[in-house]
Amino acid sequence: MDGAIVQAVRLRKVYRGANEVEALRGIDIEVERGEMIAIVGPSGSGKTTLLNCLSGLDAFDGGKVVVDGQDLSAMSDRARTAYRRDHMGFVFQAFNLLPVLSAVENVEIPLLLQNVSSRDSRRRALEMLEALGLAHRANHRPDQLSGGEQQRVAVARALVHKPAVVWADEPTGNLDTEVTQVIVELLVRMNKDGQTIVLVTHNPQVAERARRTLHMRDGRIEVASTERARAVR
Amino acid sequence: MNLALLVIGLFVLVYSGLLALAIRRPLLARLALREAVRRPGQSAIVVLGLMIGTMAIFAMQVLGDSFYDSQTRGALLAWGHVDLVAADGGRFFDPGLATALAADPGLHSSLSGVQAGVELTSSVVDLDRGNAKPLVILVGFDPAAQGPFGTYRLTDGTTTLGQNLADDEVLISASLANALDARPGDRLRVLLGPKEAELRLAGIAEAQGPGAYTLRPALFSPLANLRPLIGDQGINVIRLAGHGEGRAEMDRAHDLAPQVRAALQALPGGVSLKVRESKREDFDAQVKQVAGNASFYTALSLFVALAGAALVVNLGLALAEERRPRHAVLRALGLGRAGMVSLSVLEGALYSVAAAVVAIVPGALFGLALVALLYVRVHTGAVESRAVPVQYAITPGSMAISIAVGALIVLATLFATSVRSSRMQISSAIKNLPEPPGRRKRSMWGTAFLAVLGLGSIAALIAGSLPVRLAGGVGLVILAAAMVGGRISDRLRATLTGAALTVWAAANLGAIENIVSNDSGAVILLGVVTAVFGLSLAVASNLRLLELPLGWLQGGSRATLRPSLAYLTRRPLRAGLGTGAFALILVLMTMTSILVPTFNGTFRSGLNEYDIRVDAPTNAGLSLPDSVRSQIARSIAMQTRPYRGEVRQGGFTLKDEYVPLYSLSRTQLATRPFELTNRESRFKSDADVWQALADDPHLVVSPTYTIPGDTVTLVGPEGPVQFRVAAVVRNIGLWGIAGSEAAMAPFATLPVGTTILAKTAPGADVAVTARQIGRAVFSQGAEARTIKEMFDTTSSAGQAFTDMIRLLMGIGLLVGVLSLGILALRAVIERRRSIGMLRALGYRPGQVLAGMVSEALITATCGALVGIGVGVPTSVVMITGYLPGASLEIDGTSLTLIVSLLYLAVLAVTILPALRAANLPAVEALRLED
Repeated sequence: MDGAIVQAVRLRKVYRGANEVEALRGIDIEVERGEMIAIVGPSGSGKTTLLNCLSGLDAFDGGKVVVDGQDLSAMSDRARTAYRRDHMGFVFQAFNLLPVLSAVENVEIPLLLQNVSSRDSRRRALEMLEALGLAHRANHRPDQLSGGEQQRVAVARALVHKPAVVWADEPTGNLDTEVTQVIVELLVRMNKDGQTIVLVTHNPQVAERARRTLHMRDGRIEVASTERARAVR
Repeated sequence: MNLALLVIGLFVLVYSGLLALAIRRPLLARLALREAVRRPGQSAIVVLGLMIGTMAIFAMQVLGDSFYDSQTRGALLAWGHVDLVAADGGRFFDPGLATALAADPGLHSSLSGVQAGVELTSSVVDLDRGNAKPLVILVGFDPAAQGPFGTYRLTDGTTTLGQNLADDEVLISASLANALDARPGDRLRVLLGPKEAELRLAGIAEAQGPGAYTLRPALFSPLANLRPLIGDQGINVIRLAGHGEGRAEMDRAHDLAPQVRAALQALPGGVSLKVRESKREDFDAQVKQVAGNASFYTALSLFVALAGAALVVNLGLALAEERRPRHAVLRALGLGRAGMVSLSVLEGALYSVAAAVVAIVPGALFGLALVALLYVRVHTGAVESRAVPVQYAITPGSMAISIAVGALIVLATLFATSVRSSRMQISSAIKNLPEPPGRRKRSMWGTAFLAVLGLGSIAALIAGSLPVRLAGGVGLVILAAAMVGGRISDRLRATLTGAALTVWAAANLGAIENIVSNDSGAVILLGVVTAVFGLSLAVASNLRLLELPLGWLQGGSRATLRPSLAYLTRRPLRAGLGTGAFALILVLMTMTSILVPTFNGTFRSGLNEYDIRVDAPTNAGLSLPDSVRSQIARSIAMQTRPYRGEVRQGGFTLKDEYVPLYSLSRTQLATRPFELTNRESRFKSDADVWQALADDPHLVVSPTYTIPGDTVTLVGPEGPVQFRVAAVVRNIGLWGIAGSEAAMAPFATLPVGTTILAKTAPGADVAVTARQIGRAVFSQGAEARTIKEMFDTTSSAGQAFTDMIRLLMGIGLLVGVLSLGILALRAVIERRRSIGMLRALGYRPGQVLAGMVSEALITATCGALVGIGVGVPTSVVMITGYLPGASLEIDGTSLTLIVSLLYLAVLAVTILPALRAANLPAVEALRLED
């Protein structure tokens, strides 16, 4: 372990509206570099909110989040955007590939946003697809791919620019058991290669493969982290 | 700098910038292109929606260009090679001056031709056909000097310079031949005051070269042949021609004019002659007049473009909403808000250019159709207007401007829309969840903008004229709305903002004091737009009130309508823009349905006073024939002078207009001879007006110049003569200007004729009586016609304007209708899952269909109500200003027809998308898109 890459201190998030909802109630959390953490809990417990705040997708109302030495709470929207672009990868439940682009074009988006040259972007995107066994589907559009293939493309997109952390929100929520297994194995393999991964899941089998699991309820981490993934692996 | 060049330059700059952006950020360019071509059918519909603005703008450009070409070509045709005219205010002078001028060594080589001539207003009777034509211009020319001024081409194919005409032979213009039904060989009686001559028609000159001279009914005669009419008085005009053709010829003549003046000064008897650059002045006046009209046409087209912009905003919002999850992913992956906006603008650039280019063909066709339908009607007055041949013009410059303006308006609108839609909470947007509530922190730029807006608005309120104050107030309302954002509910905020805008606009419209001022036009335009969007916003944000009556409906109907109302209520901006686009157009439709009937009604009522007009422009002693005395209840005969020349009024100058000048004797003035519709406010009664007319030689009354207090300037032999319109006459038969004998004295050199206005006795047929009078007086060069004919001719010009406005606003309505159709289509895409869910819950296809159609109909109904609600009071303000006391008339039939057609069109365009929605299989619709 190389020390904490993500640190959150007394993290608070309130949804304001007709009825105020305190989604995160002073959460403290650390994610070690190269770790794979699963956040689990019932619906409405705040796990996705936590992931969104840690990853810089959402602003928060109190506390502090430091990722790889950078304090997200002190960043403007523009700076957070740039930070996400350069240091983070995302996998979503609904794959969220751009339907107008082919698989390889989807994968190269983060590289192009970083102003990597077109040629290098394409080469690295193809290498990533090949690594995930999708080289033969590189020029297919999302609507020509199966659910599992789409999610693998999404994983490729999350990893292609070598982010510090990959954030995955229910990455297997839309997949059947067999394909879920494939995606989980993929994430575990990436983690073995040193990739830090934070995932939110409802699926206990997916959570089991993480090194640590955080149980959330009512905006708090209820159960202390458990170390077990190393043994599983 | 030329505004057109500026616009085109801006277009090139903006699109070059976008091209550079596309090259620099290929990912954005690729995404924009792929989104645009992904669904060609839908993109085509988007382009169709966006092209309306350019189409309207280009149609008006074609109209303006065609009117410009027609009018300027008309000026060139009417003067031919007559570039300069030397005259002594119509008085006769020695023809030797022309000879001396032609022989002047300084001018000899510079001038192409110098010709002695005569120009007088006469009446011509065709004795063989039994027809008469008053107000014929008698053009006397010197055949020996005719060469440089062109050859007459006759309808039989021959040509002549006039040298071969016998001493009793003359030529006539094609328009005069048409009026008299004359044939070569006919005997013509030409009447000029007390004198008359019988001449023979040698040929009919085609309307080209010298045969088109004046572009009015004219008789062309060698000077010698006019001796029986003018004796040895000499000539009253010298015509001079420069070398070359067209503009070059005018420019040369312009350079020569000072030399000609100097040469005349040196000649004995030449001092009193004034040299005018007749063709150039006329040409320039036409250019100025057309430019003034072009501003009006452009303003109309911008009205449509504004309605089109509302459609663009709605389309932009619909597209942004559909793509929100995908855009959120890009934001998550690191694309900034600026990148987001760039992406939308790049896609918008493709649509906007495609739409602008595609719009050119229908815009051109529509513009040409407008020209064909309107030109002749707009340019035909009650008394001898020029018969200008219509020119159809489509110029590359106008095309470029229309494309540039249309594309820039669309792009700017899409830019503003994309700035708004790029604000998103990424985590919610990725899952396509609604934006969470809460106050957004205002950016530094936003705060700075509001500060500038506030300061500017306060300055405008304190220091500005009425339209500037109106704009200042609007700015303050917007500022207040922005400041209370988040502190009160959005619905209350929109309602208060809308209400404040409406009340402010109404207060300003009510504050107009002088309806004819330039300020009042700006206030009406701004006020209407403000009131429409204010009211639309207030209505759209309160549509949920319609849910109250929903409670009275049965369960099925309630369930059918509830989602539609919910969608409309949830998006007040979209609903407000849809409503506003309709309302904006219906305001003008309503105004045309009130203003024109009210104006026409006012003057039509004048027909009860007198219904026949007898014209004898060269016969001072004409009276009604005894044979019709029993059919006439009353009549008035006035001395009339046929003024033809420059008329300045309301900032416009017309160089070659006919204005009959009526002299009313003291006795006639004392009898208050005509009903008045409107008078200057300083006069307490009509009697005061007539008394003032008797006392003040600068005061006149007129049905032609309808603004009391306005100044009309004519040019008499001694120079400009200013008249002030004291009151407006209701009877159109008095077309021209009427004043005391003293008022008309400066025009004493003009021939004196007679105009008789008569009212037929009860039971007498007006048309038959007019024909009887015409037969009895035609041999005296007089003409009788019903005043209803004159009224129809003049109201036709007004009607032509109305038709133009209605046709153009028809495009505007098309925008609104298309907007609803397109939005319905987009709604099917956007709400696919919701529709699937409703179907899964048990909604029948019919309910889905009824829900979508009713959504469009509710928007159209709100638009119609807001439009009529703003249009009626605005019309009242205008009528009160122009015709105080006039009784309001509403053309309810056409307004009902317009609104009915509107509903039919809305039904027609929404039914197909609604059917598509209704037929979506629930399972398929429930699947995630893409």
